[in-house]
Amino acid sequence: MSSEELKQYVAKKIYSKAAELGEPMVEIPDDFDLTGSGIFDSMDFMDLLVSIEDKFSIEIDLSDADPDQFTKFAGFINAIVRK
Amino acid sequence: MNDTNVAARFFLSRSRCPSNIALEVEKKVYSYQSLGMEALKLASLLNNINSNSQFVGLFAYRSYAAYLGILAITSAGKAYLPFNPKFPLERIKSMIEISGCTMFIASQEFYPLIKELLQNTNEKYIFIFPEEKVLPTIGNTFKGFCQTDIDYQHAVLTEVKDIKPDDIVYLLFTSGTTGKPKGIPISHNNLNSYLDYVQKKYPVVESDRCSQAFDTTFDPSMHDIWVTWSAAATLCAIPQASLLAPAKFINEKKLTIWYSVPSIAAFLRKTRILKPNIFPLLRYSIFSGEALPADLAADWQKAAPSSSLINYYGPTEITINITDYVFKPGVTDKSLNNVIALGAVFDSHLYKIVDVNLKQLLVNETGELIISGPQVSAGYINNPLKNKESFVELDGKVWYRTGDLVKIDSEGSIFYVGRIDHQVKIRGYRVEMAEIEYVVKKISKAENAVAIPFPINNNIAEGIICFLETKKLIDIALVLSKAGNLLPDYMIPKEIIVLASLPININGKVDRNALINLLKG
Repeated sequence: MSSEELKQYVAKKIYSKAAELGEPMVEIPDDFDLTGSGIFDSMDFMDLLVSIEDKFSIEIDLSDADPDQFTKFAGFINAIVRK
Repeated sequence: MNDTNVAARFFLSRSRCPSNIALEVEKKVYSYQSLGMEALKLASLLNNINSNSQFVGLFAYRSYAAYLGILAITSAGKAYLPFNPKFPLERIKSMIEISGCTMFIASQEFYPLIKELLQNTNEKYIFIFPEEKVLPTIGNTFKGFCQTDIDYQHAVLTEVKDIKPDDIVYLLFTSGTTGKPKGIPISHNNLNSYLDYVQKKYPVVESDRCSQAFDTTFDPSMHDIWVTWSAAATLCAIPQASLLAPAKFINEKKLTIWYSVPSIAAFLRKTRILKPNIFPLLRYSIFSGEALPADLAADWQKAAPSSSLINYYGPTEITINITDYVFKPGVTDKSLNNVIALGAVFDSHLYKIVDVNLKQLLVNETGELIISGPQVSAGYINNPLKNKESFVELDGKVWYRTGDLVKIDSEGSIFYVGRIDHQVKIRGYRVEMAEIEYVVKKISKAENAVAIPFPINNNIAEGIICFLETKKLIDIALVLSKAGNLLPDYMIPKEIIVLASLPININGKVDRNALINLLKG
């Protein structure tokens, strides 16, 4: 799994959630909050983790990651790919 | 000092340990001496403003103004009404309308909401901005006070105001079935009874560093704040960004007491942050607000091996918590369907497990838990109908009907079985399915709407799926976006499924189990 692959995958999830809520997005900023943005909440974030683990057959371990970073779009991708 | 006022607890700690840190918030620290001084000045302003408002609204969230506000409002002998910036405007407006609140303490995280509120009202509100040197530009139809007004009070209180034990200390709102939230007033006597009980059973000391994770619109936050301040200990407010994954915060801040909903522990486990001995300093690990899965409790105990793990349970109407269970790893931990027992009702209270006719049941029989005692609220404000349903008289005493189905074993441990109605907990918030159904049915104009908590894992509802009965074409995205204007985010359905007709059971009611089976596929 490359960083770009993961980024595409996560972006797709956010776009579809935003569209579902009737607030379509055209671009996802790097600091997009994955845990409480009004579009993505903590439950969606949990679902996202599970679906990434299934899709890419990986185990996500965020024990060394900074929560200020991994709860944001770009920081999350970095935290997972770094492993 | 009159110590019937809960705020006297803070000031007793202040006389004992003036230089202890009372509060750490937004990277700043405040001693008991300085926070107490600022609170008395703000309390004086609240009393000097000519207003008949018994309630003071808190338009402040996880900021210095929020904690200062709670202490100042209480010291002034008024009652605080916390708001949440995540609530939609409609809910905030109903809370203001029901309470008749016209005076507010505000900080910047609420400015967008206040602007909207002011554009939508003719009411003359009073706003106090303790963190601003000049009034912020958020509209011009209000009367405002800022830092300088607080600093130059002519008559500053030297101690907390005398109050009567039954005076209200805070007002919280829960969802109501008709779409109107219900206001639950908690008195100084209710809160003092709670604090006396937990402080005696699980003593907190002045060297303790306590978490403040709960939103102030959710009553376990009142435990965080007042238990800490009663003990001259330090309250550490967790910033929004660290709320979901607080491991780093717990260790960096050297917390000794942790209190949150179990969901946060589940998240830490899911992300593999929850490893053995990661929290060596914790003395108490406390959970409440939703079911605590036994395997999660066991994993947390390994992560915080020196801590006593307490599982609390209690509806807001009985002041924070009313049962406690201390987890004993490996030994004979009590659980039902992998959910840890609620434990025993505080011995300061009476309880019964009853059937629909309020007739007491036997050991191991499932029934509704009802409670009587000093922590029971006087009843919802301006809502005689709901009070008649929920606060009943029996044997010359008032009992609160929790609506929770429980059973008790022969050793006196109570186990949670489920809700008597269709009210469930989502992310710690009590949600009535009927309220969601009411809103979604109204905006979609469907014949019928049924909200189902789904999926449910370890008795925790993870989301809501709403079924609509209609043969018309429905714009689901539009319905969801309109629902977002009327309901808080945790009540918005994750998905809407349209059916031409809903399954009916033999009683002629919508067959919810059939819908759940449909979802399970």
